[in-house]
Amino acid sequence: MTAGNHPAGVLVIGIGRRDRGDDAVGPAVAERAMDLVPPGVTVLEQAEPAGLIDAWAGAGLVVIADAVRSGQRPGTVHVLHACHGPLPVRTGAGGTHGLGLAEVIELGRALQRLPPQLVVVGVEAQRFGLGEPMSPQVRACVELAAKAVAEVVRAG
Amino acid sequence: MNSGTAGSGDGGSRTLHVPMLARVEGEASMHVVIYDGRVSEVELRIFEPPRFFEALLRGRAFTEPPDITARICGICPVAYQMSACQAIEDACGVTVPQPLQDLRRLLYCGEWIESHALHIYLLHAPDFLGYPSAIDLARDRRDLVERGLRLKKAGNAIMTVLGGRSIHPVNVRVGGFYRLPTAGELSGLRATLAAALPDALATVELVAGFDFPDFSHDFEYLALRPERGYPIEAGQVVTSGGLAFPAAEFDAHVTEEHVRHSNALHARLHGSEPYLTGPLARYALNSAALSPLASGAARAAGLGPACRNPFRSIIVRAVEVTYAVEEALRIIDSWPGAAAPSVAVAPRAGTGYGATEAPRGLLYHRYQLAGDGTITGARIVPPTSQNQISIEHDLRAFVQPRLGLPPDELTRQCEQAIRNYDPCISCATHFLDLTVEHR
Repeated sequence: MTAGNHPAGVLVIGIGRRDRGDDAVGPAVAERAMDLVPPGVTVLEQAEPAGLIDAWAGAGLVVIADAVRSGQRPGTVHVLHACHGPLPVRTGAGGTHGLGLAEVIELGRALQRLPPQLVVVGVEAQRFGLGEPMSPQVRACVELAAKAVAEVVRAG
Repeated sequence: MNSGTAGSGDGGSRTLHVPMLARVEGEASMHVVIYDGRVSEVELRIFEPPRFFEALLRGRAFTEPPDITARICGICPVAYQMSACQAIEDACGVTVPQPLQDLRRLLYCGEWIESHALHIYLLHAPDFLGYPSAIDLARDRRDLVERGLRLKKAGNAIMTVLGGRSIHPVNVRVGGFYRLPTAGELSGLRATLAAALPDALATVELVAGFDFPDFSHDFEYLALRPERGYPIEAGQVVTSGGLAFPAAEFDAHVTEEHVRHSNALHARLHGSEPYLTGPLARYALNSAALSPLASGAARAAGLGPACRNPFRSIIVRAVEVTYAVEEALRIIDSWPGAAAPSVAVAPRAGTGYGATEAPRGLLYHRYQLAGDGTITGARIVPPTSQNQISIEHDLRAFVQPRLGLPPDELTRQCEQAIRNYDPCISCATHFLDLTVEHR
């Protein structure tokens, strides 16, 4: 899932598991964004956030697509700039076995290893059942979120 | 992981609830009931995906399990691939040539290094060093976290070269690999691993200096034991009670039962005895098979031939990282090359069995195939469900003398105790729980 190596170091990463309901929205948005971003932008899919610090090393602009929960209508698209301060997350706990996205971003900040520009395009999700497909409301907003990713890339 | 809650019940009872996966309530948590000053119940509530995947596999082709089961866990996909390949090749009566087995062991070393480095530095070390998280540790001790990330990256490098990519490797197939590594790729890996060896040894030294609670258990240990070397991708199953049997007899010795409070099945040896798999078991049953360097590091860290304090499992993990780095170097240096990336595997009707050592313990797969290779049955027994009863026993013994602690501190210590087992219970979703403020 790579559109190519981009000399300017623009990276789009879709985070999530494709077989966990709306958690699939991150990879789905990144996949759709491949057709909308300029040629040469690198697009990756990642199931676990823990590898992000190495994945984004050297990139100038990183756009991460991920599922979010804030209580708003499913499919709502959030654009969050992560370079100036922590994401407004309620928990961010990574459990016993891994780290969450917000934790990895803060770890990168503590290590001074954040990319110069880091933007999270979050899609409001509602269900995460194993084996479930994405909910229709979330699926319907993949295009909108992918356009938001492309807009961040263009503006960057 | 720091959002544990504790509450008081009526009368003499009190409950302690540790939500280990705060993002998805109910997926995994620990529930302790205290009655009249005694711990009366300890339940580890685990959401476990393998049951879903067992159903998903039925009706699929015999070539698909390595790819499908790799999706069960984002941290240990290689373990699932290796147990699946071994079981299907067993069913089909195929033995993969030694050079390809060597590459599988090399790939598996990458997963051990990556998984253990993540657990040691980003999850468990902050507990011992008095930090609420790896982020706080990184602010004060950037050098330590950077060392952990360097080690993790070295493991990742193996996964990328052998597995095709680091997360959810795609280069593994029944019969071997899709593509062999080039000499240049192996030489690049060698340089990365040689640089990682001092970091691995420094890790053993670091964790050996931690303060460990005076705590021990006497569970039966269960691990693989190969003919040569430390167990990773092969071996027969052995226990500290003296059992020894091939993977094909796993079902005859290990029974699983459903319990009300958990989605996971509880495993017991011969229907009654809880047992433990994972680094402590591997080490106790195979410490004599470690390399001289890893063995010396273990001795210098104060480990004897066996270790029964679960808090010291972090030392065993560090020793295993050292072994895995050294073993990966040994394989690269002695690899003779292979005639082809894979051998042909023709399906046949039958049942096959596979068992390998995932970073957190033995992972068993069994597949039944029809004559055309269609999967008619699958069973997957992951390490965490095997360890669940033992973890609950450990927590019960751990909590009782600590009931006088303030609830937040007790919660923190329980989290640390649970992390001793690196349980695979949060391999689920990774969405953000946002707080949106409207002004």
